[in-house]
Parts: sequence; C-alpha cells; structure tokens
Amino acid sequence: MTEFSQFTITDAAYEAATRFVEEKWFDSANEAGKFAAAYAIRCHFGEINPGSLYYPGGTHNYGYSSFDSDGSWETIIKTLYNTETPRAYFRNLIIWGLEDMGRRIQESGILQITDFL
Amino acid sequence: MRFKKITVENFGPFKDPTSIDFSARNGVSIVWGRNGRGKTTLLNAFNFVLNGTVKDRDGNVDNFLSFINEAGMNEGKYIFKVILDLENNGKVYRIVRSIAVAPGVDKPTSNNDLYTVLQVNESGNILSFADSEHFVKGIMTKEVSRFFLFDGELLTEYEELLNENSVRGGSIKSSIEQILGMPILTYGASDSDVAASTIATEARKVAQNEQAVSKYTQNLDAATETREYQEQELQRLMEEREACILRRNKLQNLVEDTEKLRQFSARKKSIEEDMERQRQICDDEQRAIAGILKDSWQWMIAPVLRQRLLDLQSAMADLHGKEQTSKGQEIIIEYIQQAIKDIYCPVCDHPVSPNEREKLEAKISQIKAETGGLSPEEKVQLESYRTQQDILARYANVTDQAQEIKVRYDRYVAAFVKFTDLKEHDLREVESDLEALRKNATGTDEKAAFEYFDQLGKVAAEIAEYDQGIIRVGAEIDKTKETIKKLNTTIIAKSQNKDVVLANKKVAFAEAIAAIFREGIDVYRDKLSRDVERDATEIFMEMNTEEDYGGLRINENYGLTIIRKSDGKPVPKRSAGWEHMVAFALIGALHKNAPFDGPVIMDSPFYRLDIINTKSMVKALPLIANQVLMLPYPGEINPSTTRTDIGDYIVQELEIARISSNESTIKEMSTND
Amino acid sequence: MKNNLDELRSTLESIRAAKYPEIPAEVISAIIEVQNQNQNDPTRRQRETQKMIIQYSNQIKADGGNEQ
Repeated sequence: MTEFSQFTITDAAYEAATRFVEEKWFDSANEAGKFAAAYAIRCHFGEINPGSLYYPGGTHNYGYSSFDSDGSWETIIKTLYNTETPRAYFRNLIIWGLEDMGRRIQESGILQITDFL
Repeated sequence: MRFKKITVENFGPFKDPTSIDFSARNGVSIVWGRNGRGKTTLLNAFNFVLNGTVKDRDGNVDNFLSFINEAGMNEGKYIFKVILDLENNGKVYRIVRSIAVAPGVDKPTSNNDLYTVLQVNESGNILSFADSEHFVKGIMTKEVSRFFLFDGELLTEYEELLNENSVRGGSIKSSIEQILGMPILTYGASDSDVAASTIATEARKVAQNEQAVSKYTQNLDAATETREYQEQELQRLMEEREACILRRNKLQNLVEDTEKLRQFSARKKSIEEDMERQRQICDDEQRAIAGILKDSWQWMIAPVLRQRLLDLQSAMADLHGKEQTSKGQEIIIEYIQQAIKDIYCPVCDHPVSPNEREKLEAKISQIKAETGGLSPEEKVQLESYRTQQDILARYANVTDQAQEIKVRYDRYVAAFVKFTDLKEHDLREVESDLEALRKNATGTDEKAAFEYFDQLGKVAAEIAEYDQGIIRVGAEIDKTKETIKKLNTTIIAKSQNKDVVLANKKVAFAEAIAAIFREGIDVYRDKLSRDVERDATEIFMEMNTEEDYGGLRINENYGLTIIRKSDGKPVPKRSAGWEHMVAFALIGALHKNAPFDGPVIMDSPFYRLDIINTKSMVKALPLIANQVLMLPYPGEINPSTTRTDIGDYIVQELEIARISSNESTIKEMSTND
Repeated sequence: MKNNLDELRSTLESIRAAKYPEIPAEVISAIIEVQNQNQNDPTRRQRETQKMIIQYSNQIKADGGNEQ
C-alpha cells in the first residue's frame, strides 16, 4: 500500500518539539519526533494502539523521509505492529509521544529529559 | 590641678544653673543618669569650657544651636554658659565660657548667629583675653583631652596603637607623647638650636673684622651659607614629606573607606567566575547528552524489540519442531523408497523380499498417515515469523545508554542549581551591597577603589625616598656643623680678640644646651615607655581575672599587648572587652606619668565589658587619677555593688533627674535603691 | 603619683652632669619651665627660650669664668 510522503503534526505536538529544541536537547523537531515515537514504544508499548489513534491534519507539515530517511522505522513498525500502514502508525506514535511528554512537562513545570527514558 | 566645681546653665537639658561640686578630697564622684538625661552633655560641657568645642550625637562639631536648652529657647534665652572653678599651682581660677547672640540678631536660627565668649578670673583678677586663652590652652589641649575626657565608645581607637604602621596609631602616639611631656624636649632642642644660630650670627659679625682669623671667618661664612642652604633643603624635604604624609593619610582613609568596595568587587568577580565554571559544566554535559540523544531511538526501542523476538521465538518453537519432525520423516520415507527401488536394504544388508517390500510400503503409508507436516498455512506463518525475526534481530542488539544520560544529567542539574544559586542569591546580595556602598561613597567606584590602593603604595614609596633624602641631608648638615665647630675652635685658638672668643663661647653654650635636650629625647622616651608599661601592668593586674595573663608589654606607639604567663608570648587576638581593659590601664598609666595633674571624666566606660570585668574596672577606678568623675547609666553597673567595690573612695553620688521632657537637673542621689 | 616634670628634669640633669657640667643646671630647669608654660604658643615658646639662653650666655666671661 502506498502511503503519504508528507504529513502534519498537531499544535500540541509541535509545541512540545519546539520546547525540546529551544532547550537544546535536540537540533530539530524531527529528532525530537523520533525520540517521542521511541519513548511511546519504550514506555507505553502495551498501552497504545497506534492504529486506533486519530489526529486531524494541522499546519505543521513535514516530509516523511525527514523522519525516516532509510526506511528503518517503516520496517520496524510494520514488523512490530504487523501493519500495512506503518507510516500512519509512525505518525501517530510521534504525535502521541510528543503530546504525552508535553503534558508531563506542563504538569511538572520542568523538562527533565531522564523522565522519558 | 584640681577641679572644684562645674556649673552649666541653659546647656543641653540643663535649663537652670546646675552644678557638680567636686569634693576637696581625692576619689570617685558618680553621676547616674538614664539614657537621654544629659550624661554625654556633661562631657560636652567640660569640652566646651576647656576647648570651646562641642560634638553632638551625629558627630557634628560646634553645632552650638543644638545645645541651647529647648525650654530656655522658648522663653527667649538664647545663650548658654559653662563655668569651671579649679585650683592650679596654689591659685584659684574661674573659667567662664558662654555663647552669645551676634549683634543685630534677635533670635538665632543658625550657628552663624552665635559666637563664643571666654573669661578667666585668677584669684579675683580678670585676665585679658590673650592671657585667658593662654591659660585655658595650657590646662588641656584638644589632643590631650582625649585622655581625660572620654567616651567609652572611643576606647576602640586605642586598638590602633597596636599597629605600629597605623596612621591613626601614629596620631594617638603623638598625643600620648604630648601628655607625657615629650614636646618639652623636642622643642627645647630645636628652640635652643635656633638660639645658638642667632648667637653664632652675632659671633661671625664680630670675627669678620679680625685679620688673623679672616681666612677662617671667610671659610666659616661659606660653611654657614652651606649649612643654611642644607637646612633649607632639609626644610623643603620635610615639607614635601609632610605633604606626602597628608596625601597618604587621605588615601589611607579612602582605602579604608573603600576596603569594603574592594572586597565586594573581588567577591563579585569570584562569584562571576564560579558562575562561568558552572555554566560551562552545564553546557558540556548538555552537549554530551544531546549527542547521545541524536540517534537514541535505536537503543530506546531495543528492549521492546528484544521482547518481541522472545515472543516470536516462543511462537515459532512448535512450528519449527513440527517442521523438523516432518523433515526427518521425509528422509526416512525417501530412504525406504530407495530400498524398495533398489530391492536392497542397506541397513539389514540384504535384498528386499516381496514380503518385506509389502511391509516397507505399508510402513511408508503408516508414516505418512501419522505425521501430516506443516499445513500450507503453517508454512506461510513460519516463514512470516522468520522474516520478522530477521528484521527485529537487526535492530535489537544495541547497547542501552539511558544510564549514561542519567549520570550526565545529574551533573548537569547540580551545575545548573549551583549556577542559579550563585546568580539569584550570591550575586544579587553582593550587587546590592555594592549599590549601597556606591550610594554612601559618592564619586567612588570599584575602579577608583583599586586605584586608591595602588596610589597608596606609590605614596609610601615616595615617603620612603624622602626619608632617605632627609637622612642624607641630615648627615651632610652634621658634617657641615662639624666643620663649623672646628672653624670656631680654630678662630678661638687663633683669635686675639676677646669679643670673638666670648661670642664663640656663647655659641658653644647654646649648642651644649641643645645637645642636652636632644640627647634627653631617647633616654626620656625609653624611661617613659618602661614606666608606662610598668604602671599600666599594675593597673591591669589589679583588674585581671584571667589566670594566664601575666602583664602588659609596650610597643613603639605605646600600644599594649597582654602577655601570657605560661609561655611569655602575647595573646594574639583579644576580645573587645579585654581591649577595653587594656585601654583603661593605659589611661591610668598616662595619668601617673604625665607631668601635670588633672581629673578623669568618663562617659559609659563599661559598655563592652561583662559583669566580672566591669566589677574589676570599677574597683580600679581610684588608681587612675586623684579625681575621677564617672557618668554611668543604671544597669551599666550595679549601684549597691559599686559602692561596696569602690568603698571609701566614693566621695559623692549624684543623679541627673528629669524635670520635664526638655529639662533635667543634678541632685544628690538617694542611696535607698 | 604625678611626675610633675621631675622625671624629665632628672633625666636632663643626669646628661648635663655627666657630659656638660659647664652648663648651669638652672638654665636647663628654666628652659623646661618655659617650654611647659608655652606648649600652645609656639612663638612665645621660642622667643622665651631664646631670651633665657641669651640671658644666661651673657653671664659668660671671655676668660672662661661666669659672672654668676
């Protein structure tokens, strides 16, 4: 199945990614996004079903390849979740991860990177 | 000298004339007074009548307007008066000093509207203004009065005496030497020199006209001219040195005043350096963490991948087993089929009979029936598992770096907290202190504060150069004096003129007098030093309550250190209370050794002392002077124990009693407390 | 208790007697008194001291004796 080559992320996800970049933990929103997806898998694998998450389109647009230049993520997600729409799953994991980290940062008031490891 | 009576009128809180009558006998008079009743005003009264000066609580000097009694002012009385009756060298004196309103002024509104008036009556005769001034100055100069009229809070300045290089210490030393009579010797020597010079000039005039010695008188003239030039040069050096000393004193004050500024600046710099170090640590650790985070997704998801691998392997196990079994049986069937085909069994090593062939074919059927192998679906499933396994295995073996990030993050946080503490707390505090200092020390900034320090060093070097120059020129003057002396001797030996001989004898006479005074300076100073040390030790040991304190040792500035009995060494840093006791002993010793008599008047002498040391000092009061007037407040010392401690030396007890909020009087104290 | 210039006088007297016996003790005493009385008046102090020395020096005779 041919999936999208561009996708958007939500405002909340974007805000969280921006904060990580501003505080110099990552150089770009893309890196923050990959970290967020990895966080979602590492810490919440059994809890989330990326296939059932829904995030409407937004204004923060990115090329898929800027997150997954060699297709590793697509392969891994396809295998891990046994899905034919790994890109969609990946997008949902990115957004979920960023939004969850953003919420936790807001609740605690500080960005403590070790909280997400 | 004995004080007989002091009377104050319209001065401070004392509106109506009020007196303290000093008893004819030696001892301690006590005037009790609560805070604000007029004790310090009484000290000011003595200062005013003797020195013509007053000092208010804010340190303002000669603010006479503030000393006019408020009630008196309201009644239109704009003058105040202090009268001191005393005896000196068998004569009775009355000193009256007052302030008066300047002509043309109805009501004074500033100190410019007032002027002081002095009158001295000697045994009934009014002295002229010049003689009155002369007499009063002769009793007690301002420099000397600090040892007779003192505020206990000022005893701290005597600590400066311990520092032989201290500028203030030097000034106090000069006052002490004045009280001990040293100027009599130093000026005696210099004034005698001046007299010798005057006589020598006359002698030269006489010798000039004699032929036999004209050559020598000419040389003498030349030598005298050289000496005059050298003395001018010496004078110049001394004046310039004096100017340097004034500059040094000013700088010293500025350095002392800006010491805090320098300290705070240095502290600020240190904090900023520390902040920079912490900020660098933060940056370094964060940079390292960000480096690790760059491709962190790989090791972050690895644990999940590894778990999935395990799950897969578990799911694959049955199918794999089934597959293996099926493969094994296929090999057996193949083997049997070959035996049937070859009509020969390699296992039994004999041909296969038709009967055995039947059995073998039946065996094949049995085997096929018993094991079905993997179904096509199962085969697909197993294949899928294998593919997944390959993919997951590729990404699962990555070393986790969470622990390293945690370690570095802890270091980052520690440095960050230190940084913010330094910035928000330490730096703010020191900047606030600096701001407060800058407000108080107008025109001074940190740069200037450090510059004063440098300039002080340079001025000290200049003074040292002048000292060298003064010594050099002094030596040249001595050489010239020697030449002059030799020439005078030659002139006397060769002269036939009696007048010349006589004149030179007179010169020698004057020079000998100068030499006596000059030689006396060091001898007397050493003796005084020893006597002051001995007498101060005596008074100190009367008060001493520390077992290991054995006595006092004096330095060049008359500063006294406490010496321990146990090792004979000085007590390194003594408390404020002991400082007080030593200063008190010094005052007493100076009184004993001063060439003139005088009472001691003390305001708040005990404020830094504990109960035990206060008691000791009270007991020692009769030792310091024949007449002591003490101005304590109730609570500073205990009235009843004081009476016991001083005993018969108490000549009277008075108290400053309040009449109203702006009026007090002095009356005899009731001892029923 | 008080020095009253005696210590000072005796110090100078020791020096005078040992090294300058030709100088009368009275002139030293007189100068001490003048210096003491005029500590706060430098002009008077110097003038009186000079006067004292000249007065005493005028008693010296050319042949070595004193008029005293």
